[in-house]
Amino acid sequence: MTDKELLDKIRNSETTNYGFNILVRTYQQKVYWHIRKMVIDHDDSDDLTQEVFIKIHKAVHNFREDSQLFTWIYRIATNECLSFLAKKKRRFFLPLEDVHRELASKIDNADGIGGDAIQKKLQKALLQLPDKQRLVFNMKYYEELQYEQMAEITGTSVGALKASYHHAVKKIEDFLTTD
Amino acid sequence: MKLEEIEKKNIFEVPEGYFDALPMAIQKRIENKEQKTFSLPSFSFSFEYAFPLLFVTIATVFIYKSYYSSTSTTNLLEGVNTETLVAYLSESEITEEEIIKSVNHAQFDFQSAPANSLETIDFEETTLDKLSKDVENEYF
Repeated sequence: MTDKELLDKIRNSETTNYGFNILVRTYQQKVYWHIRKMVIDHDDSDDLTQEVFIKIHKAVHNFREDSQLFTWIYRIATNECLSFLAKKKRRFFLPLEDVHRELASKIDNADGIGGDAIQKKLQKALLQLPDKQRLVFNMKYYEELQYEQMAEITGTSVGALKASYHHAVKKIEDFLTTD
Repeated sequence: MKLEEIEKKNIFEVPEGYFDALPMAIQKRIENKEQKTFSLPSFSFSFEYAFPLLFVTIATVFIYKSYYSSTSTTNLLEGVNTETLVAYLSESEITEEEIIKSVNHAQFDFQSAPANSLETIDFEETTLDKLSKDVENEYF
């Protein structure tokens, strides 16, 4: 089903629930993993994923199709993630390092995280990056998005995204080598 | 160490059947939110009027109380005749000096006071001397 057909179903009052259900099933995994890589904890990711789809449900009737449905959904998920992390820092008056330390300890101890020592070390290296740069790295490295798509999601230029990813890779490799 | 040397792998896991149950969980939350949103107008409607009404009631009670307390002493004294008042003051422990000091001379209507009202007061000699000196100093 194309985005247009899906949106038509959602906008038709007789098929709204059916159409929205298809939208959730189509995008839930992408949204969840996008969020999970940023907030690490499953419960937080679950809550945020649900919030993202509630926002989509509320706003989808006004979606003007200037961008692809996929990038619009990603943009909502990205904003939700960054707001969550910013709130977390504000709520506990924690310095950036303490939030990263808390997330790093979840990588070591929380249930639902597998992988070998080097995989975990890579995740901890990612936590050294500023949130927005970590987001850029995840989208390029794990989700393999095009820079153009990333630019649409983040509202940043392709050039800036390329530079950000390049610096992120360098920082990660330095961390993996020295630490 | 180079990034290419590490196997690209998602190390995060979800509980079994999580993605099967997620659409239903989202649908439930949307329904709950819609119910809350639906009931909000009546809630806000009642408070929209209740708060001003409560404010007006409190303000009325406050103004009434403050007015009543300021006029109550005057109202009470208006109902007492001069003889009873003089008898009460002469029996009480209030000194004549204190009574003179507390009288607001500017508001006292000597013209309408009974002719014998001052005669009934048993001033001591020394107090009368002091009073006449004060009157001399004040008016002559």
